[in-house]
Amino acid sequence: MAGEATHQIAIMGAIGRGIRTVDSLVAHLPIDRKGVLRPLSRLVGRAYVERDEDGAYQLTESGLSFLASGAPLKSGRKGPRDKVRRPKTENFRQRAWAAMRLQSRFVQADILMLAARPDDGDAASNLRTFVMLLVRAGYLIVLPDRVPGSGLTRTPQKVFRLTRNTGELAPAFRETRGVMHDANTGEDFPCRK
Amino acid sequence: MRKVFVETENFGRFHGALKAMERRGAAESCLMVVDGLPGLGKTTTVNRWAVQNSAIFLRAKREWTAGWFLDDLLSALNVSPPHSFKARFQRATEALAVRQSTFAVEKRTFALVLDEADHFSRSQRIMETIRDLSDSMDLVTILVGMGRIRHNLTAYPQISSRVGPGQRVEFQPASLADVTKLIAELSEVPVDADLASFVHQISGGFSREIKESIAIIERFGRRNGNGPDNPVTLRALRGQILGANRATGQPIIVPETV
Repeated sequence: MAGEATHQIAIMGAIGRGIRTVDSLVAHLPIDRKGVLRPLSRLVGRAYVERDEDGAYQLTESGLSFLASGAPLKSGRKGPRDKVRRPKTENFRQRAWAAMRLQSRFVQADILMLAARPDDGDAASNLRTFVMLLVRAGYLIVLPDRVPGSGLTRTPQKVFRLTRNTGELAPAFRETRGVMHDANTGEDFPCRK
Repeated sequence: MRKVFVETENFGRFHGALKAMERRGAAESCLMVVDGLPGLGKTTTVNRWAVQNSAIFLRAKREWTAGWFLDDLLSALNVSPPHSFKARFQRATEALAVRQSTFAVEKRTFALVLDEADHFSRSQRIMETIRDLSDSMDLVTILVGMGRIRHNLTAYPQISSRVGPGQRVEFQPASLADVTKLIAELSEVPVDADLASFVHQISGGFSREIKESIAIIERFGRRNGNGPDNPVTLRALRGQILGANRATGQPIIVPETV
């Protein structure tokens, strides 16, 4: 979460008062060298500060007008994320997806046995949701066969087959859009109920 | 029955061989052979390891050629295969090297697992292609099969010499300790030692038969209200079918005289 960029504000103020080199900024401000260099590079990235050839910094036109406006300077991202984030490759759903790709047909218990780890929390529930989403998005089909369960009533278990094996990255559910995003192909597939 | 993977002695041997490979002296000794009779849990063990370690897993087909192998490998690596064999080999080497370096940064073992390796272990072209790939970047390659690989590799000393002494894993039938562990971890109903010993005897140590027996015992235990204080005994199962004979398919019934 973005907060007040106090170091950046202090550095802009100091540069505005004529303290222009890193050494003098370190001497003048109660911040160590690393604490000066990082916000300084952020200010250069924001185009509020520019560096001379001789290593001195000065405020740019936009830096001056920003200071004059008195608007608060926030840390954190400058704009919205406009790109789809690369999915984490190490989580339960990724392992479950890899296990599905290895099995021509499977029941959920097979996937749990291959993919679950003790620290995965409620892996069975996670897998049920993931399988439901994959079926709705058309990645999995439910075969007409049923395999008897191992419980007392031998409740038949659904058998699935992976029909859209697009690559090694597991599709990720994007709740706001109601789609499964496939990072292998860049496509979105609607999860129809 | 619980949906968990049980680490048996075979898994320990497999893991030991991987450790031996990590400690190997000759960098090019990076082939590993895993074999044993069907039903001993080879594929499940290797599948589990491949899923947990993001390994590239390929299942060989009977009619595999060197070109088809490379096509499957490139497909698993998410790389579109070019037309010529030379270009496909080049592309596969590059993609594997990139993957391997990523794993090296994370201090993880990157491996190529080839299941049903009996299908191609007599094909010199495929074996040499695997050797070239493996040699080019010291890629850990695990060949999984049913027992003919070891024999067939003797025809290629240049390849068999790359399988170090600790890098051959033969899956063995489960020991009594393994059967007891499998029952303890998979069965939701406690089972006494005599019954575990009987399951070991009738199953011949094969995982599939052991799991079948556990499922039967568990259903029996639940029907009869067995719990932590009163485990299912061999005596209680007299006259019950506890599995099937692998060779004849005949049901195995617990004798009335136990």
